[in-house]
Amino acid sequence: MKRRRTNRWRGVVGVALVVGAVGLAAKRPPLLLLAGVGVVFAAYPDLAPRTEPAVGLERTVSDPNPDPGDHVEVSVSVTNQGDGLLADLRVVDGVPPTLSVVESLPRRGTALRPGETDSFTYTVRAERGTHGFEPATVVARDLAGATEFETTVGAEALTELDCTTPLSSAPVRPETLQQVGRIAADAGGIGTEFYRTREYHPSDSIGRIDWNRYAATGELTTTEYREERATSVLIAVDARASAYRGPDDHTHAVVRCVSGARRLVDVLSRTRNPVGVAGFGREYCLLEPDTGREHARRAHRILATHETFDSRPPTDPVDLEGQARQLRASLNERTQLVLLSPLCDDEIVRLARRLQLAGHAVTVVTPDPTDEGSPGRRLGQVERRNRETELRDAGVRVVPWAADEALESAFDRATRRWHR
Amino acid sequence: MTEPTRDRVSVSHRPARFSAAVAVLFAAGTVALLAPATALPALGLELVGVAVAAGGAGLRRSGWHLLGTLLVAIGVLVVGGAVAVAAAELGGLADISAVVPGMVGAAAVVAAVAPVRGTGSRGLLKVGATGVLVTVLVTGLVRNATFPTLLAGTAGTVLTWDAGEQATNVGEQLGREAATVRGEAVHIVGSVLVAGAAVGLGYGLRRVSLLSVSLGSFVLLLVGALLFTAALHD
Repeated sequence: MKRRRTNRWRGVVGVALVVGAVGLAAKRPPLLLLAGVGVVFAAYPDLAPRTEPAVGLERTVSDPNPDPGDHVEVSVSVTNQGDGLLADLRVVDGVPPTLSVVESLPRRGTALRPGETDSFTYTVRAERGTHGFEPATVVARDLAGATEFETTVGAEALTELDCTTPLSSAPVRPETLQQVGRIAADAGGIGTEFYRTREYHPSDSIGRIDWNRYAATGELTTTEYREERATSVLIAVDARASAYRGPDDHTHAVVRCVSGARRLVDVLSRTRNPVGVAGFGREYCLLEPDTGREHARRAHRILATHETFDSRPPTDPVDLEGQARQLRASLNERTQLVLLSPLCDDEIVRLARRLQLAGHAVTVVTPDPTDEGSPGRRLGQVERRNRETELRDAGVRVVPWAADEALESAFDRATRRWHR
Repeated sequence: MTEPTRDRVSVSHRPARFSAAVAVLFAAGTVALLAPATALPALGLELVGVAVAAGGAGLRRSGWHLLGTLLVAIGVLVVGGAVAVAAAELGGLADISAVVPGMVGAAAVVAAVAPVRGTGSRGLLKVGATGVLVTVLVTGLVRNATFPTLLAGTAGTVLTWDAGEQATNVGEQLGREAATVRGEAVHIVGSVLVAGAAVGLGYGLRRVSLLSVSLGSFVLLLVGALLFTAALHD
């Protein structure tokens, strides 16, 4: 909690002195007495009670799963949880930077007695993606306005607008999704599906000897079955400053990448694939692949709250080289990588190619941040298309994700293309 | 201009309406309280001018740029005319120097909290409040105003500054369009109560001083009180 003096009553001491001096010079006791008014006001800030504010904030949205373009009403109520009067309380709600307010304002100036609650509502227009509300900023001034406390409240109230369609209802089935990379079952071993036969080795179990063939040819052979291993998937989000781009009046690519990552976490954890989350950007962020509902929840929390995925771009330059090194160290050879990036520069393309060459199955899901318009933008589109081609040439699978397109239809298009 | 191109709500950080109106009321009330009856028509004319200018400023912002600018200009001219009328009516230099600073000051307060352009100005507000204070002091020196009137005038000056500054800082932090009346009202009620206490205290001290306390003792009392206040600051 920041505390600061506003010094707004400083001038009143001057008033007292000037009035007093005039009264003294004119030898008029009544005028001299007028200075008393200034003195009283000069003492006022120090006599007014000054309590640290304890403010509670609750936020509800009329529809947590709106369709794009819907107007969603947000109501915020603030409560004075302390035992002193909050004479001048100013609240600015933390509207997701990616949404715009279309009716009334997310701001309120009020006064609250202990225990009292005041609420206000405003309306935002939903856009595709998952949008987390940020903590509200609260400024509390004492009655005289001389001391000002500033703090944020409502960090624990994780309000979200989820303007996405769950992938389960989509034409893309989890199996198809796994084929986004290659199923990591190109290895023989113990399983149920026939893989191949090979020459017997004394260490092989008797149960796996192909007795039919022994009877026919007299040769000892061992049957191998396809090993069943769940594919572990690491979902990486490119959240470097260059990725924070988007068409005018639309959410930028990072918001779309993060919401896409969350859909993927849902779908993969439902099919019991170990799934992990990584992010390049403000700082490297990693949640190792694992299974389970608790793990999926953790992945969601990281995507919603970790500062790497903040909806405002990082200001410091990002060391992608170093972060990629950290990523490679945590990948085992069976982990496939789904990278979500708008492909706004060549660095990320190099990284994806290098990982693919190192033997990881890499899929790049790339939301389109460009729009029609100026020649500069058209040039950007061409550059992106070249990068996509470059990735495909290296064996990376690319899922182009047009603006305003639902993720599942992007997957659908991409899989149809791969199966052609 | 009816519809903005995007239906996105915007915030303008101009002084908050409620406190701004209160500040103007305090300024105008203080000047009217101290002015002689002959100056009241001129004050009324000034009020008309200020209203025209404020209306023009509103029109300018809602897209009627030319008409708005014209009205602002007319309003400013009317205010100037009102000051001239007051000077002509009053005649004596003493009366003029008692009334005119307050009239100019009140106009400056309006310009500070209801700006034609920009987000309000604390500097202009200071100029305005100083003008009103000069009126209080000169009235006390050259005209036979009663002591309670002078006390109320001084309190009114401080309240003008307080309400105007409150309007400015609420506007800075929350903007003019936000619902802020409740917080502003509580602040102003607090200040008015303190002003009432100050006037009461001054009046009481005046009664005491009638029982022959010397000027020197008064000065000591005042300095002592100021030092005490300073000591309260941490």
